[in-house]
Amino acid sequence: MPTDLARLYDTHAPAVFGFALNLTGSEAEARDVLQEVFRRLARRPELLEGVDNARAFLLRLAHNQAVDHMRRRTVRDKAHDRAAAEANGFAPGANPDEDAFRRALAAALAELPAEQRAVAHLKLWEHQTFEQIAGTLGVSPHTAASRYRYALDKLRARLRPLYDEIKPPWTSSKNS
Amino acid sequence: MDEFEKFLRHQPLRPPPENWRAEILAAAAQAPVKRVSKWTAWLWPSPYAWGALAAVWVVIFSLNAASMPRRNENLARDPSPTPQEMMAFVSGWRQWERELFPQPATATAAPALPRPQAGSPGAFLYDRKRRPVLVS
Repeated sequence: MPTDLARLYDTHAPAVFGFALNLTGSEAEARDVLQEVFRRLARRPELLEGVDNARAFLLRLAHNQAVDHMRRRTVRDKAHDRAAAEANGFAPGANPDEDAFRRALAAALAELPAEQRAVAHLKLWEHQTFEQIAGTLGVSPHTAASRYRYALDKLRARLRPLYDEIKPPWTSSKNS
Repeated sequence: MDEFEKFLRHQPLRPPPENWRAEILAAAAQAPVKRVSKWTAWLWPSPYAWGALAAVWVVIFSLNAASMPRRNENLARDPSPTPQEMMAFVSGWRQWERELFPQPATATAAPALPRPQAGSPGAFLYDRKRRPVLVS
């Protein structure tokens, strides 16, 4: 089992950590979520029996853990979290423009409601369909699609100026 | 999917710090394995579905039990008749019997015979109080 757990960690921990970090906006809480997910798998090995998509299952566990963490926050913690929400969930950019965009993207994600943030993350960085997102988050596909549209509109409005500045090469020919 | 979404998708996520791996796996390895009963293992894949099915059966049994008439209710619905009702029933029954099976005319229309005077023949058939004596 430890070997299986290590293999699962190597395969899925980056995704679980990225999801938890974008969802909680706190590196400490993201670590707690990641640890709790793998602790649960070690305690209950049968959890993964019969599971077709281990990644989706782990993300579902992570979502439940992250929601528990966010509910437990007190008012004081929330004030602290607003300051910590700038924790960048994205890798450093190759140049200052990319870096600035990723920091702005992290900040824009932090401003979204948690449920929209979760849907946006799963759609954009886990490439899940709305049906898969619905299964992960326990909502209907219609709700997932609706939340995604709201989230994307807000991200677009917030990031449009920066995006126009550093528009990637493959889009410049179409948009110019 | 428009270009903006594609661009967002290309933003790589930050991986977890390298030193976490050993710590998290070590903490997970120390967690005691929870023994799962056969029932739990059997129900695990869809515990909510099984629970919902059990709840539906409970509801069906409850509705079935609630819709069955109870003995006490039957008794309360048909209480014992009062003596007056019984008398009315019996008299009605007799009336109906009389109408259905009328008595022979000789039995009903027999006139009372005059009692014999003392000393007359047949007076021995009456006692002192002038009541007829049955002769077997």
